[in-house]
Amino acid sequence: MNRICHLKITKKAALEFEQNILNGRYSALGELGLIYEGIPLNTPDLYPYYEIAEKHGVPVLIHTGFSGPNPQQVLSPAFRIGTANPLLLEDVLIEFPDLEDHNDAYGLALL
Amino acid sequence: MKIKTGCVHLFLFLVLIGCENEVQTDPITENRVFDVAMQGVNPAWFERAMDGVDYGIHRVEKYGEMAADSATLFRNSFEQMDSHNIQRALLSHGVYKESFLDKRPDMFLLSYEPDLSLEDHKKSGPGV
Repeated sequence: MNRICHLKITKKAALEFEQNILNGRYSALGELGLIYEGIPLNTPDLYPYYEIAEKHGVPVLIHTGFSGPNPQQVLSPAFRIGTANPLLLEDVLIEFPDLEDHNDAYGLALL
Repeated sequence: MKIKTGCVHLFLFLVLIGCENEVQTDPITENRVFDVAMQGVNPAWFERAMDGVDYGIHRVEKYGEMAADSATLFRNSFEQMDSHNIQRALLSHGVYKESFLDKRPDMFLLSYEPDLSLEDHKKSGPGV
């Protein structure tokens, strides 16, 4: 499976996300599978979304840690476990201290 | 002969006692459960991707085989959710994400995935 993560993060897209929170369509952000594209968890590209999630008290679900055996062959060749170190979320939480946070076993963080 | 008759009568007595006892349910949990990471993944993809994998969360335990169609997927999923007292679930990605929500709108919440293009965002949002 090639999971393509298009990080076309623009302010406009983030505002549309906010609109869909306000109209009740979405209740959370995620699952953010950044690891599948080798994108570090503390990428600032997602900060516009985190800002809105923090503003509205919306939880954020992030895939951290491992996924399964041979992820580069089974899931995505760009998979890099080093990018999914949960400690990288420290930068996010410093920037957005009121972001709701939850860590799941096996590799999920719910902010 | 008398002994055999006595044994038969005792057996029947015990059987009747067993039948009259209230069937004991075995709830896995009495606590209400909120599944925070549920996915509406196509079983066909999952089977291809996990071919030969019997590891961790990918273990085929309950039914012994992947769901062959969406009707089976939904039936088995709801059966497992009910038996584990999962009353609410947050749905992230997967082609069946919307379908799960349609079938039980009171049970599911949708999660937004920003890895779509801007054009896809417009298509997914109502009136946006």
